[in-house]
Amino acid sequence: MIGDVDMKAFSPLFDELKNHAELAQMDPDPVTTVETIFENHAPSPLADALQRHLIANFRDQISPDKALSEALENTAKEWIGTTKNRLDEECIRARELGGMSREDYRKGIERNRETFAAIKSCDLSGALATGNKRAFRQAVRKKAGVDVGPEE
Amino acid sequence: MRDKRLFVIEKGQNPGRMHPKDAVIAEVGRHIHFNAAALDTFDVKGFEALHYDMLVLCAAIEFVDRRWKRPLGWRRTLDVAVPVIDLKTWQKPDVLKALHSVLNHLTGDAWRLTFVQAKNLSPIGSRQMPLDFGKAKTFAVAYSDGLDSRAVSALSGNEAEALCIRVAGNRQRRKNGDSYFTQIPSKVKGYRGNESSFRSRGFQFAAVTAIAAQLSGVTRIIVPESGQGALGPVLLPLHNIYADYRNHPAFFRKMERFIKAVLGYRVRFEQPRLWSTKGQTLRAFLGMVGKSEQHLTSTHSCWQTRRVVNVGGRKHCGLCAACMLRRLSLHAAGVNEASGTYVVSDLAAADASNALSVISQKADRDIMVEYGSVGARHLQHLADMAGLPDDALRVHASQIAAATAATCEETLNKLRTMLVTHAGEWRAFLSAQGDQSFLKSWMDGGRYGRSE
Repeated sequence: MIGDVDMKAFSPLFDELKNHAELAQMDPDPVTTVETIFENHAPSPLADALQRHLIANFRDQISPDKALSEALENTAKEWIGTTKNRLDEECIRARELGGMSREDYRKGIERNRETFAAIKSCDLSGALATGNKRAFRQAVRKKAGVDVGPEE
Repeated sequence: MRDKRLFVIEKGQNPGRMHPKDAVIAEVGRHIHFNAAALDTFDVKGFEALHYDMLVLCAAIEFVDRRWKRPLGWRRTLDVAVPVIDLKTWQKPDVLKALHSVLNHLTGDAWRLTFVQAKNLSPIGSRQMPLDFGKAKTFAVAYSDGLDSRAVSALSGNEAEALCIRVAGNRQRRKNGDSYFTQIPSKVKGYRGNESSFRSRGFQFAAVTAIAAQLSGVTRIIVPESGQGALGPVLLPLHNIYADYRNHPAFFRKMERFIKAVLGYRVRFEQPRLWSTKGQTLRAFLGMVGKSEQHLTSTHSCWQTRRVVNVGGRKHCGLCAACMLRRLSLHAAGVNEASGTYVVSDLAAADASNALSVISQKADRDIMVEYGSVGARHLQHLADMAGLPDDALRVHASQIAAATAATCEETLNKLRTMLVTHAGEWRAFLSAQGDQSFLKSWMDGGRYGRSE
């Protein structure tokens, strides 16, 4: 999940947003400033979601620090959601194409549900903020089969 | 990641040493080919060098966008050099800024466009014939062969006042009095298309439509897409795939800024059916005097052109996202289609393999499972959004409100109403397929943080 993030592009963007958030109390037009920051960095699916959340928070007059941290956490939730959906789609495709038995399919869908429910969006947003791509290394260590559930 | 570089040269020009070693060369007339008849429809009074430059730019952008495959992380860095006649205008900082802003936003790539002076200052004839439509046009509408185009152009005003602009690569059946702007006048060829996403198509359509609007003295451009198609791809992006903004108001505002900067002409892309489902749009169309179901059933929605749909004439595949939205919307509008319209027609089958058994090749069946399940799940998840709390919808409402100059509260209400209507139409459509329909077995799982 976090492995799909282009951290080399995302981290400099986030650092600039963080710097702006620390000084933004004096910024009379934070929406325009933030739009310019995003335009000066390379676009990406993750940055697009973050921009949407952050600008919505600024428009709601949320304080700069809070606007950024909440935007990042909501972006993380979206990211977890799209990843889970992608894996569910893959299970459906595998079942239809004959690569997965109906029983394994049911276990796969259930396993996705349990695994993703156990992921805390604040952990992912923390990893995104610090650029830590290894944050979920332990959790995603290869399991022996579909019978093995998520770790407590 | 290496940059992808394209160097466009003029017809007959020797590339020489002026281009970077690792750049791909595209020559006008060879790789960027203008259809003389289609270009002639633009060659009327008011057509200027800038318009021709824009058409070359559109073609160059298409070439690059289709030439280089996306990496897993989506974004490419695309370096493009284009010869232009009106170099002074293209080098203006506000033009360059608006152009990069709209392209990056639309495609999710990092574009780097540079312009060089073209040597041939009059590459096409200057007929300067005045346009004569008989009656003044009051709005332009980008016209494809789809349901929304058919319905919304009729709903938007008197037919004689509509400037219909074809946004197809190929000439389509002409309408009465249709002499101008019959198709996008350029084609790119001579390369292998490695990338199918072609997000820049939205830029091409909007730019060509804006040129035609300016030549006709029209400022209102109607975008026919209804709510699910315009907003759905941004409301529910897929994993690590950049949101598709092609019909989103945020894209059109950026496009308007670019058009104003480069052409000095103010157009307004209007989306009169943004808050209606496609089903509601079709019902409204059928409520007009003289409109019949046949006007709708004769349209074409499926974008597939492969062998799977070429069975005794070109049919709809019946399962891709466009087909599913079509079937859902015609069902909501109470329109029955003739049997044989769709390759995969039986959505009531308990097993997808039975429904797909009409397709002979396994590879085609497999790809249809992928298209079908992703499209059907998208419509289901869009319906699920109708039940989300305001907080979860606010981020989208805020983005749309900013682009439509409306309040967030008003936009939130409209968004929810559209989603609730969609949810009702989708439930009714699914229910009509029966309890055993394989579509229901494609809905397992759900989005994180939402009830499943």
